[in-house]
Amino acid sequence: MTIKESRSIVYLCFTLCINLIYSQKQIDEFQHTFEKIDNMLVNSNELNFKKAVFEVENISSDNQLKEDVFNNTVQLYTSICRGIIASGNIEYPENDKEKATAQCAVFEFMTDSIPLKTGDGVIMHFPFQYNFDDFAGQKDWSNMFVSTLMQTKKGNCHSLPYLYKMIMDELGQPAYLSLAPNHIYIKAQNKRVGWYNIELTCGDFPTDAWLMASGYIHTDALRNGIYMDTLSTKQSVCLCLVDLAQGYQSKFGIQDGSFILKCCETALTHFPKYINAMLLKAETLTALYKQSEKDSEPGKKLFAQMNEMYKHIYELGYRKMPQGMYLNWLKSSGTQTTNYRMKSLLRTKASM
Amino acid sequence: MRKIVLYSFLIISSYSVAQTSATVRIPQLPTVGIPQPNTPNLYQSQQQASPYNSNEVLNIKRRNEALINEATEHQRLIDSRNQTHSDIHMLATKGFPSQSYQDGTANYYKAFDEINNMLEGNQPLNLGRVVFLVENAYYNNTLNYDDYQKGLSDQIKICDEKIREDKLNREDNLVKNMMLFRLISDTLKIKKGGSEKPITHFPIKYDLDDYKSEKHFDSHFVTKLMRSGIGQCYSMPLYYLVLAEKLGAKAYWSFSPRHSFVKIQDEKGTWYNLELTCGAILSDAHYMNSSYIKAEALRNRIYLEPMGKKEIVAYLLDELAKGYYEKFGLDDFYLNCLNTSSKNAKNQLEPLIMKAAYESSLVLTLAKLLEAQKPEIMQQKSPEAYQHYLKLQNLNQQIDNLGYEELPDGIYAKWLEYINKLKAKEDKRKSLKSR
Repeated sequence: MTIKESRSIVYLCFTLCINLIYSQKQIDEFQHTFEKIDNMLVNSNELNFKKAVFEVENISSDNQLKEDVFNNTVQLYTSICRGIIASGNIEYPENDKEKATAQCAVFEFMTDSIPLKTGDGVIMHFPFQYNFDDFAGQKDWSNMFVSTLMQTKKGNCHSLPYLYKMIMDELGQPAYLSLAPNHIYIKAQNKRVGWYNIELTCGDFPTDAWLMASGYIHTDALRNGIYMDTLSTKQSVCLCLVDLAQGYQSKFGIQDGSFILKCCETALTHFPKYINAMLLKAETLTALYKQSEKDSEPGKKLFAQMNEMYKHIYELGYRKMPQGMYLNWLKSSGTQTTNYRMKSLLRTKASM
Repeated sequence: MRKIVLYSFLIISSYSVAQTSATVRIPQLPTVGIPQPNTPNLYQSQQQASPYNSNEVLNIKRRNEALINEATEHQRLIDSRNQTHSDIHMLATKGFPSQSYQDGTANYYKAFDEINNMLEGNQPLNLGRVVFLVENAYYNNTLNYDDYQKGLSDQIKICDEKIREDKLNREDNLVKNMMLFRLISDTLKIKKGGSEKPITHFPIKYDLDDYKSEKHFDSHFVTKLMRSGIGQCYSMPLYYLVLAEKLGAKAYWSFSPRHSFVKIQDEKGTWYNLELTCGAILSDAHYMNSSYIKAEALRNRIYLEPMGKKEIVAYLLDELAKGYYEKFGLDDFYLNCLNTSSKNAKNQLEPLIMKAAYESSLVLTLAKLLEAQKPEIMQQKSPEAYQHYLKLQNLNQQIDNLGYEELPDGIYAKWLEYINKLKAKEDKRKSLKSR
């Protein structure tokens, strides 16, 4: 062995060590973030959806985000929405006007161009766009983030409804995240239309029946409430916990599975019917089982656990939608004339 | 037109100007008191009254009568007020009075007892019998159970013969269900041996004239369907289920807003919806879409939920109450039916809606008697009547929480039109294929 070779091996070992130390530090930080969110879930008065989202995104972006910038941006968006409400351009006849106009204003802000008066004149705030290139964060996990949405103005069915909910929270009006297979959307309620759905990825108001038929939702899944139910703030924070697990997975892989399983199980304690936590848990168990020695005692145990999980998921009415179908569905949602009930009911006088 | 109005306005305004100017010009005249007749002294007038003046006697008599009348009228008012008061008290504490003195209520009581016995497990559940009991009570006990049974058996015979002819498995659940589906929604021809003519059995026709049972209350009765061969979205599925019970097929009833249909399950456990009104098999999503069912309603299991036999029998108590209301109005028997039904059924929607109807009728009656235009006035005048108002609010809240939303008439008619079109299209397709 030449000196050069041995030196290069030493160097290699060194960098590996550094990498290991570095990732160990990161893993610890993930652990720390988990504790913060877990704390929120245990002490209900510390529940804060915006903070939970920020924490998860920050740790998944190697601590590159600044909390005040994130908060200020949400503040800015909120003040634009307040401006739309104050403009008086939204007509609504019932007595829950404050709630309904807030629902409408945030929707307008996110899906339409808004002229803003500044000292020098008028600048346009353009609507957020759907990221068709990487709608599931498969190329880059950060494409799921609200912070990415703020920077690039491109989002998906994860970041867009999250942002809608954050702005509504700031305005002090209720709006609820709701789950569909591989999808999150907003549910809102006002006196005029009752409960309705807001789809920000295409600026539409799909009916429950449409979501059910095109979203591949089995009737049992609806009956059991794993899909299309309104999520409380606590349940929404549970969503962040599974996001955290997925952020971890995109960085380090499964590792020994313990962190991912812990996130899923904590989410399930506070939100027992959270289907995505069940699915991630089942997938993780499957991966661990494949790694294990199948005839060994732990292998058998994993196999039993995995089967139990899949059986439970199936019984709740979950059926997997193929990815091609999902893409078709997304494309169709923009072109098909579904129900524009809200648009006709909450008419804006002139295009703002 | 506008001109005339304008002119008349001008005339009026000039008149008022003239009036005001006149009052200004003419100085006010000194007012002179109107001469008043002296009030006659009672004593004097009595003294002056001559006993021989018959007029005067008559006057006194009249005056006395008036006094008596006034007093009795006053007493009557007090009495009627007391009566209203006790009416209000009775209504508020006991509800609407029993109608049991009316002829025909006994038939309803008998029907209820037998159905209740089945629900309590003292008697085996018999859907065919329950349907008969509900309808026979409405017809004043004039139907014959043996005739009814025979009518059903004839249909079963046709099914059996067709199953034999097609060489299908008589024990298979799907075979039995599909045969019933064909029997009700399709024309069946059954070959007879030798030179005998084949028997043709025609499908049940949809009642386009009175599908909501508005012209005649019994339009939705199964026995009416059996007599006329015409049914609608209530009687057709129920008829199917009665026959299924007799044939030994497993089938379920299911509701969507203002509609009902049959649900069956194949051996793999997959559910199918049999839409008998147009002879189609439709998906859950179709029902959700066409009648605007929201996720909340599905989650609370008020729609598209398969109902087993006990559930159906419990529901039929609501139907018994509907018939009773039609004939005799609201009373404790009506409520008793609903309470028993809701005790035995998972789906609480119908009992809740019907109880709310009872309470709302009671609250309106009480409000009228109390002359209370607003709930606050009712609360002030009679706290016990106000309790019913609160109860009504509570029932309505429960109904809302189930995810129930009223379906507008237009949408329902549109839906039926759509289904008819769907069927026409399907027939056309079939006839093209067979060519």
